[in-house]
Amino acid sequence: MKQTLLLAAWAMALATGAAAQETRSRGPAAIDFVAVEPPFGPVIRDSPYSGEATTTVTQVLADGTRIERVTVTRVYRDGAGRVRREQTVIGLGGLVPREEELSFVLIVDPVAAVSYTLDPKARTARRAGVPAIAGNRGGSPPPRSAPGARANIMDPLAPPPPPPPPPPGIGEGVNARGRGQSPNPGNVANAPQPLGTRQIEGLEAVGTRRVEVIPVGRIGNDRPIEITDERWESPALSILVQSRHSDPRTGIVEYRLASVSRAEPSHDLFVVPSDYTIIEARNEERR
Amino acid sequence: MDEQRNRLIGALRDIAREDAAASLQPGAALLAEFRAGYRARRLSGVARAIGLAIAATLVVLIGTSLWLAARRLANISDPRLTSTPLGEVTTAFLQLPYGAVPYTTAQIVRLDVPRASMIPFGLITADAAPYIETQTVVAEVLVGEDGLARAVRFVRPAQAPAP
Repeated sequence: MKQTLLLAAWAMALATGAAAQETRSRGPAAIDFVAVEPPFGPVIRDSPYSGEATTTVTQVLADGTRIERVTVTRVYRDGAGRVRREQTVIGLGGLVPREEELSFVLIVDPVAAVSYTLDPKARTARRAGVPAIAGNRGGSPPPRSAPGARANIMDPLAPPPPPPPPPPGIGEGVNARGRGQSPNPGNVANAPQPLGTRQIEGLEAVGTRRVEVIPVGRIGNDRPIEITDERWESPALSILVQSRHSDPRTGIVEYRLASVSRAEPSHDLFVVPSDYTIIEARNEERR
Repeated sequence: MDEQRNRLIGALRDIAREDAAASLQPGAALLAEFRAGYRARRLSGVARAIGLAIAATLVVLIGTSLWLAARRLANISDPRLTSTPLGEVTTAFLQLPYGAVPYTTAQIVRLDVPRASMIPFGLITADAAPYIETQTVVAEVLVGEDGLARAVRFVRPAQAPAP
């Protein structure tokens, strides 16, 4: 109760525009970039690749209506561990009043300890610092890769944030890496089941399947609800190659990395184009 | 002789009656005095009890106020409201429709979103929509490697330094 009141008070402060709150008025409010943080996870060197990842979200409603949404992400990683992601975000739900496409290009350069978020429309690049990898400081820490892996995995850029709390009846099974127990004690989460090894897009991928069951009556359901999650990861590149998540409540989410090349990507992909204006992201946030 | 004897007995009886009456009067007075004193003592006891009750109420009220104030101060460190290194205050991560889909890697995308975006999360009432139509608020969206948004938290920027 206290927390609810506190949250409500905080929200009211936001709603009424507290003194320090930055509020921009510029016609009907639209979604706009401020910054993109580098991906959580380790910096991986000596394992360049590029590929095109397609995510398909399919949902069939009770009346037979089929909803399908597709987003494509282009990913590049060079031998030094630099990453470029050309990404479009979907699934923002009520965060945006109308369906707006949210696309950005992110360049993370752990060698120069900097990241850039490119806005192709505005021709701007927001620069932010990232932790330098140990190799950049002259050291060479031992790789943290799994047995048999060939990628050189360095210190993580940042710890992953805590997973969002599941609201009642929705979101059971959220976990950052898909390998832990269900955060919802009411659900029955089976241990990940190994699926062996498979060749996907020329990569050797190791698969696991995890099944979680919402017992009868947990959310008013008259029969068990089974949520399955199947993931195929490449130990050589330390990347997700393919996944399929099936939840009767939200539909099927499929991810597939295709057009995989293990050649060194062009260096130009990790450099801000000369006609872009570079903005210091942190300074901008402080204004 | 008999007549003399009867007069004597009568006189003695009168004396005895007078003595009895005389002996009764101080007792009644004492009893009345005692009863009056008792009543007074009883009234002062009630008054004291009322006083004590008022004092106890005041103590409880003051104590509760102090406790609530302390709780309010303690709420600054509530895990649901966190402060970033920049002095910003954020809500907890609120789940988006595909928040239940696991991810291997993720990143935070910081956006300016319409303030009305807070309405579906119950952070603002829908009544406020017409008044905040042109306003924006900073939001941090957790996006998986698959491009699916998992969660969002709203950010109140750090207070500007005093001029």
